[in-house]
Amino acid sequence: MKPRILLLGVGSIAAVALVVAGCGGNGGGGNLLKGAGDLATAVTGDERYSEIGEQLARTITDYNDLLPSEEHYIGRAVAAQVLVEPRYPMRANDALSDYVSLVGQNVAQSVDFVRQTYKGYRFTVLDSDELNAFATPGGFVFITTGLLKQTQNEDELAGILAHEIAHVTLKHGLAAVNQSNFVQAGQLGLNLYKDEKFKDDPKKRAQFEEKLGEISKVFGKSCDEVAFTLLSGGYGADKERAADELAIRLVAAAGYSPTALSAVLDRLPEQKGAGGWLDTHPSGHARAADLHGLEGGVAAATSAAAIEQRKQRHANALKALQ
Amino acid sequence: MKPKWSTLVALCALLGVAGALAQTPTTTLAPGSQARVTVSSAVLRSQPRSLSPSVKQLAGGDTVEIIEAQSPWYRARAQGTEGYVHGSALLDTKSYSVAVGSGATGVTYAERTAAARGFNPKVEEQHRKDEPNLDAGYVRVDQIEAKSTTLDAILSFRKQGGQN
Repeated sequence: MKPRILLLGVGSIAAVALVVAGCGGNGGGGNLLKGAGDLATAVTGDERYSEIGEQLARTITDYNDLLPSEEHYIGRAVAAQVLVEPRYPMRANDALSDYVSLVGQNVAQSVDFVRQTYKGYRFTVLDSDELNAFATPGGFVFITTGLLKQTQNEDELAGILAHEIAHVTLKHGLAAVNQSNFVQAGQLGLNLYKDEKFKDDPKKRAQFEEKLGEISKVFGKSCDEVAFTLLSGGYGADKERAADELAIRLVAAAGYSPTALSAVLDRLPEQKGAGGWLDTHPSGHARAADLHGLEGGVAAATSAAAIEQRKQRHANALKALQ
Repeated sequence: MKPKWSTLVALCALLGVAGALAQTPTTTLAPGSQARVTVSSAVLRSQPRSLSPSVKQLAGGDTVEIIEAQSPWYRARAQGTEGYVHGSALLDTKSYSVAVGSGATGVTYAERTAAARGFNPKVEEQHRKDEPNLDAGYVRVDQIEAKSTTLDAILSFRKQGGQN
């Protein structure tokens, strides 16, 4: 009789969960039931009990509740959107793309306060004259040859890539998604394990397919929102400032000059309507001025001789663009 | 039968705690507690530093036992080996089981960590069916993802650039 007692116990927990959720005014009746199953799972630690109401659910309040793998799949879809744009042809593997990748990895993998992503960071060059760099959630970082040409040494390039790593670490791309999408994804609670169990049950299989269709729409909507922010809308001045500030700390920790980012920003033209950074970011001069106020507080761990040494290999790699 | 209000209050408190755990993946992990690896692969390192040598490779879904926090690292033990693992690669077991689903025996999916009850490989597959125009983009994304940089390559690049 033990199992029955346990199930009754779980039933009580689910009932109390309803009361608790109700007190908090959390969603409609259907959602409350799903929430009850989920809370029962949380309390018992056993997923069987969340199957009481059949519908599986998970509480996702905002992007911070996503797993790194979920961020990764959003990032892949946004990167795929970027890479089908005729204006952003991906540069074939060559010495320049390998070099850019090494500079990016040097920052991403050597600094302790870079957030680890599901599959790590990747750095890709786009053959475009537009001045642009952006990163998708999960760590797919892109830089155009147009912006590369604006850099005069490796430390400046590291500064730009670090700005993008900072956006990923700070989850700015995910923050661009309307949070109701995440809440909905959690409520739909698509469970791959159940998919396996249901494969011989046509009725449940159909329910699974229906749920998959719904969650895929929410996923597509979320990815569109990120892509729009990256490519057209911009994150806004506050997030750009936060990414610039973190970037100079990242490069300094990696052994690059913390003043190189402001140097390249100061060199960018002030021209709206050309697309890329000039439209999605505050003016380079304004960003550089903000950084000048912070650079004094960031200890540099590099020498003029080392900067010169790196400048040489940067010049060699960028010869491909002449 | 009259409900025991003290029991109900205690249960409410318990549920509140469980709810908070489920919603906060970045919860600080207590010494002695267990955590799961949430990234595809993580490194257990000999020192709490990013470029320090690996003592063990951890796979997504692996369990580690927390010994102590040294933010942003945790000293942890995995299958008898001690080392340091980055906190952003870990989630407490309770939140993990809510997000992924526990008791998943006979799972054929290679990567347990990708099996979130939210956005997962199955959703990507469906999204690609819904948006066939993205196919060429996904092919390039796969190429990008396949390109990895070894620790040795980074160390040698740093040495050449005077960043030892």
